[in-house]
Amino acid sequence: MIDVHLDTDIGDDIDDVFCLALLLQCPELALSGVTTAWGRTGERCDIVADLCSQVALAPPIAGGFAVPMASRRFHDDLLLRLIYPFDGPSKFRTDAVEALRLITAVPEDGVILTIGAMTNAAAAMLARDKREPFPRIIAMAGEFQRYGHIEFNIRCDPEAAHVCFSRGTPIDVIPWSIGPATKLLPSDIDRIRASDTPLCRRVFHYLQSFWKHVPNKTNMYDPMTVVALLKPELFDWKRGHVAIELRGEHTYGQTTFREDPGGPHRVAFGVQAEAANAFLIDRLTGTEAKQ
Amino acid sequence: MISVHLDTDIGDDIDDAFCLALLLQCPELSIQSITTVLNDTAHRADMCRDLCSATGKNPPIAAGSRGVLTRRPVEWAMKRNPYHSALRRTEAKSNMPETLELLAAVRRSADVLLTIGPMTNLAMSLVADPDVSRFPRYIAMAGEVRTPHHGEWNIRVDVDAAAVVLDSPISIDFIPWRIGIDTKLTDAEQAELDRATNPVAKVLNAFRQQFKKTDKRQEMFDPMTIVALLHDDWFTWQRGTVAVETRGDHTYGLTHIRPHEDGRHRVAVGVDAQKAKRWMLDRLCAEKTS
Repeated sequence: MIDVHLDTDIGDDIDDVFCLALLLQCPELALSGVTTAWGRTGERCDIVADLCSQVALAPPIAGGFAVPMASRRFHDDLLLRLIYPFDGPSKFRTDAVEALRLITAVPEDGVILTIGAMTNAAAAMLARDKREPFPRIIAMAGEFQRYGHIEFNIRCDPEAAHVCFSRGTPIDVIPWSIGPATKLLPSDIDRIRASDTPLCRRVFHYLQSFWKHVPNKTNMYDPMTVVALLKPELFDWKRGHVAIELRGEHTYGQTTFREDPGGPHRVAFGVQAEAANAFLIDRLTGTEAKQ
Repeated sequence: MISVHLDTDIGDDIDDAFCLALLLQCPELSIQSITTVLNDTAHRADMCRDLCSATGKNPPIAAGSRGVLTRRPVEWAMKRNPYHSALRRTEAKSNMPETLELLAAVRRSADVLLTIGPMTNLAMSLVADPDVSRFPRYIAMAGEVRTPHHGEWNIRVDVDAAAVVLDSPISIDFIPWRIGIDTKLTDAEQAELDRATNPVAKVLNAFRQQFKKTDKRQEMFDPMTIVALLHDDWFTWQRGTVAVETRGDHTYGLTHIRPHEDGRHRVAVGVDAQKAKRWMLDRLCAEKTS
């Protein structure tokens, strides 16, 4: 069993829901805790708790930092956004101290998945001495193949991302371009809809709620962090150094990659999308696809 | 006849020599003047004289700025000098006053300005006189907007000069780096040029032979400014505002386009490469220019 901690901005794009649901359906992984990032972090926790309850799990959950470290903010208005909120009474509030406690408790051989702004992970790193080992991170973050694209999780908090990527901590990166490549097909959605498990019903409920605002979007950015953890052979990796542009006037938040066989970072430059999506949907529904 | 001024760093990559040779082989165009830029500009000016004299032309040629404006230069670029000797040497030094005078005259009277090297000379001209109420049509080989994280040479060598030019209100058509990659010459196309016997081609081929001793590149970045001037419709253009990153640690010198319909800049984002190369080779190999 691998201890996994999830740091998520669930409630904006729908892929966070798929990522958490996939985690809950992987018996190889033990979800040791969940923290939320960006804006309404307390309410994001309500969605996390709701999904976990569908499989009778109650991991420690904490609402992390509500505002970014970045001094030049792109998205102050988006700090207020929550596209598909939990439809019951809210039980959580922002509690950055508890969030830090949860992340710093992840064992060295555990894994932290960051699928939102990297504020919480950066704060946990800054709280430690640089020489202290930090658990491996798999991050949905950045973009390296699409000209000028400043990926959302990075641009929400470039300074936090810089902290994470500049300390030599091993980080595997699922960049933006993997998301459109693994967009779910209508047949994939049909399988989730047809599944009668409480978790799939809840995933489909949030998907429908999300689609009222962003119709038909099913790019699977975040779940690919879990697929990368369990099926790394499905990705084309390049090892090297990722850096975040912090001073640029036109390029603030852009990610750059310098290939180096000894570098601490691995970036997925390609994915076997069909196999990755099959793994995702098979696990979510607990079934194999019918041929 | 369309009067054209060329500002070039001829002597580094071979494509500057292609560009000037093509300009000389186009009967629709007349060279008003030439300025050179970067490092040994007097040597570069001699190379321009060699090509021009092959057609009996003697336009004013000034050796421009040896140095660059940027405070974060590419160190090795500042040590690089022309790849081969001009056929003759005039022992002239750089002459910045004459360069600025020529550019001032170009801004008053020329139809077209082409820059195919770092924009240092033009930036100095714009700083000396910011009034651009009259400005020729301007086509620049500069920048890149499709290949992630590619810092194009002409911009990267003098980022601050590029910023002066791009921030000014003049209209600019850009031939970015990728267009040169798309129009790289094949071995067969090079062999065709080897057989050309007109006076300009002979000088060009002498330069090519020198260049080949140390460098095999055959991308046609710079000549595409001429092709774009005379065959605009062979290119796919994107209109917008191009800016250069002057502050970034990791992105210093990258160009960025913000697309919008009213933009003063156009960037070539595609080219009919076969048409463009065929036309260029026909012109370069033609025995008569009219």
